[in-house]
Amino acid sequence: MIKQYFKQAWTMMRQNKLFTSIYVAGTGLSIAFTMVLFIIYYVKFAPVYPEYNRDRTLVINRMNVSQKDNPENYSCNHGVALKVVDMLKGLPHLDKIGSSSNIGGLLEYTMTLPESNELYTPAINFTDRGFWDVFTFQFLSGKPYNEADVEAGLPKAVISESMAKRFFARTDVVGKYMNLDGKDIQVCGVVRDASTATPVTVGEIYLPIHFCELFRMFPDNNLSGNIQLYLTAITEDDVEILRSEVQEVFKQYNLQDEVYESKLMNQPDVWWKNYFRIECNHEPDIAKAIRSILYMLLALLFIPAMNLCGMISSRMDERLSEMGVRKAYGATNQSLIGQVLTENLLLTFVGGLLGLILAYAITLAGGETILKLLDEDPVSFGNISTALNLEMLINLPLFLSVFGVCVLLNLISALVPTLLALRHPIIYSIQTKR
Amino acid sequence: MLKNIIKQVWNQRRMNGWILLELIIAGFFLWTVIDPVYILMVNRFTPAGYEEEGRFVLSMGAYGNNHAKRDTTVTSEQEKEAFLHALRQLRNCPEVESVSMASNSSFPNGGSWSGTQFFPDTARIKEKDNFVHAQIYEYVSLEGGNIFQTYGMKDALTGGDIVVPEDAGVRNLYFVSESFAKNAFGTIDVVGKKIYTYKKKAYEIAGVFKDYKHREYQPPYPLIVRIDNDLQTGVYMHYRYMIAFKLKEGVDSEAFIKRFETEVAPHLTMNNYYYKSIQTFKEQRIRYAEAGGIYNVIRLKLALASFTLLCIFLGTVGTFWVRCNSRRQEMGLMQSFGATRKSIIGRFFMEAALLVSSAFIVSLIILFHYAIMEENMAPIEAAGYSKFATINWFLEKTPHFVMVSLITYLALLLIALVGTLIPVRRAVKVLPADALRDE
Repeated sequence: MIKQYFKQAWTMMRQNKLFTSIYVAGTGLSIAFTMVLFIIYYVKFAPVYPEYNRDRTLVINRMNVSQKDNPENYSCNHGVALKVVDMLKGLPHLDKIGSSSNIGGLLEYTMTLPESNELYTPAINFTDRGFWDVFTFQFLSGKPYNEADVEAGLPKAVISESMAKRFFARTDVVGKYMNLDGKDIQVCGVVRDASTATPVTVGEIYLPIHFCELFRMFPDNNLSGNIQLYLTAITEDDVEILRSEVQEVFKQYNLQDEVYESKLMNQPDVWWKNYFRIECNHEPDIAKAIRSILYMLLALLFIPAMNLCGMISSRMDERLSEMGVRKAYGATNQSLIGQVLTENLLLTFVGGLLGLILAYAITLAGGETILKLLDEDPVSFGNISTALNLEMLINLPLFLSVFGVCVLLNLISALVPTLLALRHPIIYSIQTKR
Repeated sequence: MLKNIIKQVWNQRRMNGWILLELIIAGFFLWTVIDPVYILMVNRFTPAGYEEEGRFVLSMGAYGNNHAKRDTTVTSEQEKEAFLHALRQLRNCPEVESVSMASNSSFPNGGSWSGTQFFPDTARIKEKDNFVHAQIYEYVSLEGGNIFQTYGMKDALTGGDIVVPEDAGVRNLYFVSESFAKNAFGTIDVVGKKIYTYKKKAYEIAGVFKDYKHREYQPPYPLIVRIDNDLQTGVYMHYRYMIAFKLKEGVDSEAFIKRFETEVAPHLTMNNYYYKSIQTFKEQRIRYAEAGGIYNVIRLKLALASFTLLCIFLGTVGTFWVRCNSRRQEMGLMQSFGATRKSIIGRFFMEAALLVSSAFIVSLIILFHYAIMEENMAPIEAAGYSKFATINWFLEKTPHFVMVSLITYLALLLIALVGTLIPVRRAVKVLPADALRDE
């Protein structure tokens, strides 16, 4: 029966080219925009290289420190002091803890590229040893620097695959030296490139955090600083418990600190919630952020759906006599609704396919601009061009969501007009073609 | 004719229902998408209070502790000398008219922002509400620095150049913006008056300049300019200070930068500091808008607006295509009675306009309720001390609502008319005889 419905739908598609093209364009447009949004959020929230532990990772990257005797007098930072890492080590439900700093971009270390002899400013990511445990980098050769290297701030570096190729023209370069700001840095590992779409882990050169003197210069009397902390819970189920353990540590710290109150502002955040944390002096309004995404999604679905409703409605008018005859021969309303929905589903799927292709085209053409479109404070990595990789674009959740949106769009747009058309008595329906 | 068209639209109400519903939803959505762009644009076109043309920012770099070229014997006095040397070198360029060294938060569209509270009299300090929150710019008067001149800021009272007394830095004289003066004293005639910090330290106002926008897409905010007569040295010096300069009229900016980078910049390397980059004020403006997410907001909203309008376009093309097909005979009849193609197209336009207008009236009623909720009509991000900002007349509630509604309505109407024109123009091309034969 369903085969028959599809056959009929295919014939009608070919007969009513205008209807088909407007229907497919409307559906495609809706699905393209929805899928671009999906891809953007997938890249930000789902486990992608080298952040496969996102679902059990907690983040602390804001700190508000106020004076206990005058709470209105506060300072806040996009980071915490490095000593917080030591405070949190050993928590019962903590698996790994790592830190990095995003101020590398401000420091502008320079190197001379052998290919062109030009000065080049690589993207530097300063990390501790734990960073390499929290994030799941693929080492093509070598290994990360160890804790003693980090503590001493030794000139050792993990470099990205593209940096290795650019500087040495190969990737097995462990033990070799590269010159950064006039100083020799020894390469201890080479990792597969991270994308600019994962700003926490992207970098061309990863250096021990104490290599840079600025990280030692923050005042020691409070917990504010310029380090971002990442903690993984042992399992996904332990995330909430780990959150409360961290908050308890801060509570105890604040009790013994007579001068300052170091406010976590409900951190540590689970990965996706941290995306919405922009300001350093207050908690983000997650409910508001979700409302605005839902509002956008509803508009992307409902506005074209109203178009499709109108078109299906006028087509149902034309097919009223056919429905009347089917009803006269015993077809139930359910079977007729099923027929119309199945026929439209074919059209919706054609639109869905077009929409998906369009979404890929938009994402690939827009690259980094598209991936950062929803960011309130987009971070730029001028020289790195790796924005998208295959796993971000071709994955099961994406295809399932395209299917889901198609079915939803089909239901919204076809169900009501069909129900309205089928409520007419058989005699009226048959008479419409007389 | 209008009565006739209304009757026709009413008779086809079931068919019109869906497009009407789509127009209502689209009208509401489009309004909410256009609104933030409108706010940004009004702020964007509010006078900035400074000139952009021919103005630049020069940044210095420093060899860090790990750098092979770092000279650890350099004293803080020598570091200061490196900066003053750069300032002098730049001032000595024949193409340069004015040079000033200012803190990194004292440049239009700079990344930093510094500000605090001031009180117009000491009696009010206890009542914490009676303060004016102001942004602070500070520049160094060494080597003839004067940012009013370099930035092209003008006196609010005379419209001319601002006169800075020689001893302004020593006397701790303050220059305030119009909006600061109005917020604090209700007038801009405030030269000679004093303002106070929370700790009751007094500062005398030496001049009032025209309202000034620190950021392109934000409204003018109360601003105070204060003058330092010395540099603060230290490890962050090259982050703390930058040098602004203005070229003389008629100087080719690109040619100057090229000459500067080859002939002058290499001589700026001194005592662990070196020339890093020059950016135009325009580049600073664009960079901030990009990094601050402003362009993202505009891109996203424009994409959503285009999506909505495209849907409306498809909707009207579809609706009027069906309608034209079912009314071919009517069109033929009208043509045979002497109606011109133009008048038939006009009739369909009236129908489309009627549909858009009636749908938009419903959208407007919903939008009005949405807009009267305070947070939905906030002319700027309602955070911090935004009440002190100078709000453009176009962002006051009534003109704001009217303008955004008007823009939304015109966009919807235009796109609906284009969507109508395509099928109707095709339909009226059919000869009356052919159309009538169908009947």
